[in-house]
Amino acid sequence: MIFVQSAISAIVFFLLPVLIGGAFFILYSKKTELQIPVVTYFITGALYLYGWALFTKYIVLSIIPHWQFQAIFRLELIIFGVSAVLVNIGNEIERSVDFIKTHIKTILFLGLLAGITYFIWHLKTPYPLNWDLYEHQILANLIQKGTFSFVTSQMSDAFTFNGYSSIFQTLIASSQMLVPQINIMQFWDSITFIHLFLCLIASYYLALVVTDNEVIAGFSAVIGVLVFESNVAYTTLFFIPQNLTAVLSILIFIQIILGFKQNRSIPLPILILSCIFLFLNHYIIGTASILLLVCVYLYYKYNLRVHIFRLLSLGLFILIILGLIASFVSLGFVNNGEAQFYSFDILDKLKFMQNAYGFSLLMFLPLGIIALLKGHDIHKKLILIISICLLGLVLLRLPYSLKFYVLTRFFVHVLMAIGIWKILVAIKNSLLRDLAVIIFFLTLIVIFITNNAYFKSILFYKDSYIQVSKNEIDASGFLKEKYSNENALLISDPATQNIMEALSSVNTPGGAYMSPSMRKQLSLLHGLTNSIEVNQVLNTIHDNLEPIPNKRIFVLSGRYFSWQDSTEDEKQTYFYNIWDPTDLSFSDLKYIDLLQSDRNFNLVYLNPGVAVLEVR
Amino acid sequence: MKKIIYSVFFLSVFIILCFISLYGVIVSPLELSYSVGGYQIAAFERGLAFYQPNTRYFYTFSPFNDYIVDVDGKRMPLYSKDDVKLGKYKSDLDKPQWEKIVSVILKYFNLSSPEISYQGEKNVDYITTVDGNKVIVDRYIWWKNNNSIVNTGTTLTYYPGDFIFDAGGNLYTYQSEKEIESFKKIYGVDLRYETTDLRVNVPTQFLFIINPQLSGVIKLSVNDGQMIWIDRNSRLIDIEQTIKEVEKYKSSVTLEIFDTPQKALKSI
Repeated sequence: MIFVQSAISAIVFFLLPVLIGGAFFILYSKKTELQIPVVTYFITGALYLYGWALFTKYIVLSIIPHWQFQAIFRLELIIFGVSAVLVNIGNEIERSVDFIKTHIKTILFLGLLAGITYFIWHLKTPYPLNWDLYEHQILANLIQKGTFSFVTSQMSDAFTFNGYSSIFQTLIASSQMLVPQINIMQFWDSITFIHLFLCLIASYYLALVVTDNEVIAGFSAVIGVLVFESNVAYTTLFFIPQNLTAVLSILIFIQIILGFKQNRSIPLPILILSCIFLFLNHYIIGTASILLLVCVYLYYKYNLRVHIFRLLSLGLFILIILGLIASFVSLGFVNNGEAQFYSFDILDKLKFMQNAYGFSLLMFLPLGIIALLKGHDIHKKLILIISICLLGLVLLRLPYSLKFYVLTRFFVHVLMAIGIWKILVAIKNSLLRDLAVIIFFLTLIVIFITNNAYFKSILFYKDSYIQVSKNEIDASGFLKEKYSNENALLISDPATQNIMEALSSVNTPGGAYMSPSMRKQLSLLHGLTNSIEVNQVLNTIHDNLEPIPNKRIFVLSGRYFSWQDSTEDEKQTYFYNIWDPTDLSFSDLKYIDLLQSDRNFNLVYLNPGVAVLEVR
Repeated sequence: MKKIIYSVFFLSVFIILCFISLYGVIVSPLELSYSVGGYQIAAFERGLAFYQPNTRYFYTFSPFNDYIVDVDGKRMPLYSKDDVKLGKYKSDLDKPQWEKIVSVILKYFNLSSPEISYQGEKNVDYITTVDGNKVIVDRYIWWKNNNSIVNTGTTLTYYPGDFIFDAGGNLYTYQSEKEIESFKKIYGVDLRYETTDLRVNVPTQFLFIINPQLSGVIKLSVNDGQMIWIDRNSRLIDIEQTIKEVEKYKSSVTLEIFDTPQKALKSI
């Protein structure tokens, strides 16, 4: 039952904004013709909800400060949700049924592909492997408890870098507030599957709208779902703001092309609204998406198609300038040095590509490029220019530049699909052509499995690939029940803090992004066996936003001891974590016994992986 | 006909492109490690190792420690130091790319277990069967020049601080009184250390190993006809048995992993 509730909550993440947006258009803008209404509805509804959250926080609560944000927002959600359902009934239901009837074959095909992919991914992987989910869940928990801000770092010190507004987490919180008693891991599992399906739809329809060829679209979908960029981008299997931004950008991109193909261009206010959402949802990917969408809009609107190679030259010129700037300026200061870690050279990036594609990118992309260079179709030429420019951007040695692959991949996969199609059309015998399709599908499945195995290999724990163990989940349940409503501070290693703050709603000093000074303090505990001194050090550790807790909880997990055994340099870096769970050893248990036998500590919980001590 | 030939040609080209695509995948050695309870087992150049990730402890079955005993009681390793120095053996650890890809696929679907073979004057194979928290390690020696051999020994390495004890609470590695007390306090298991011999015979078929730095307990079981010795000089657990067959000697050892000593002791 809890799984059903969790899955429903994940659906509500998308459905609620869609219903609200749909109702908005029915009531105020019925005549507006939309190419893919559901995308515009989602964006409109999401902005509407977020706007209300901001209004509640910054206007309502400034007038009536003793009201509680969470209570008002929950009420707003219920009112909007119920009203939206009532408005949509009789207006949109029939249209939706018609749409499903028309596209049933495609939906089933894409659903099957998503199902197969998720089944393979899910083998021995009971929980999502998305490390970022914990951070987003921390904010979603805070919103549900009444802490809300536009700026993520003002809500929690687990955010040191404001890469986006809090719109994504507000939508997560909204869906969790409306469906009670969900299992957080199952919620993220379900929402990841929906996201995967949306990626597939974006891949399929982008290729279809550009080529008008269902087979090419099918290939684009197969590549899109079975290629998982297991470094930095993680487009399909991690539901995070950058990836939602990318998928929505592609869907808006499809709307623009469709609009011009049908001689009814996307209305400018809708494009502006979409751009606002994309920017709020991820400042960097959003900005790149906006630039892309605006360029494409202008390209069609002002008939710039004759200048296609000048555009390409301009794009490449800008990339060269960016590349030169990047080579002269050290960008290691961005995000406290983490950016430096995510600055890869071309060989690294090619290796990452090899992980995700094998050599298939090298085999089929050039074929696609050659095929398009020979053709005269302006839409296809546009895809070619975008792919080359974006690929250039991805290959630049800039911190996080690999993140731009979340957008690039969709265009690259269309090119690859075109390359494959060029060979397949030469196979005139339909039986042999079907055989080729099967072989290609199996090839990608094998690449996907080896890529999965590579990515998951460091997360192997008791025959499962996990980042969080059942022991840690159980301990989090205990912490939630006992301390989530108190002003308590949970202290452990950064990885344990990240997981447990998300799953228990108990505050930590910085989660995975514990500040360098706090890390230094925590590191002082290494080898310290005098419980009075341990107590003194723990009492100096605090949260930057809420400096004085009523109670400190010291969580000693297997990870904590592994982290303490790491080198001082490792402990000071944000990108170093103990990624896989570890249980407690005899030495760890001896240390716990030593602390608990002192009056400064009280052991309140113990399982094979985690001990929880109250610090007195 | 022309159409078919044309189609077959392009199909062949397409298949070649697919194969090249596949050949490019990166297979890391880590992908071929298998879970046995809280431990992992994988083949390395020096043998089959039993370990926990991110630690420096490897419990190894190795042909460089395993031995044979001749009629005169002389103990000889399967591969001597000279064999190692002169490279008189070859392992199959470094497999061709296609084999690695197949291994990863089989492993992903739980259809294989780790194994490693050595070819030299003697051929030695370590083959495992993994089932949840249990692994059976079968070691085969293939050797024609064997007339004088009476015993073979399979060995498992251990570390100085390990607690190695049997179901009766007899401790076979040195631990201070304080450690033994702590052990009792934490796990509720009473141990006693009496032996002073460097090589001690274990009078049962079960042995428990706890590394203080690692979680979990390793339970080692042997079959009838096998005898366990703790060699404190070489830090090896020797499992000795008399040979029965000519040319092919098989030896089996079972390892099981438990979360706590209580659970391990209960399993007997």
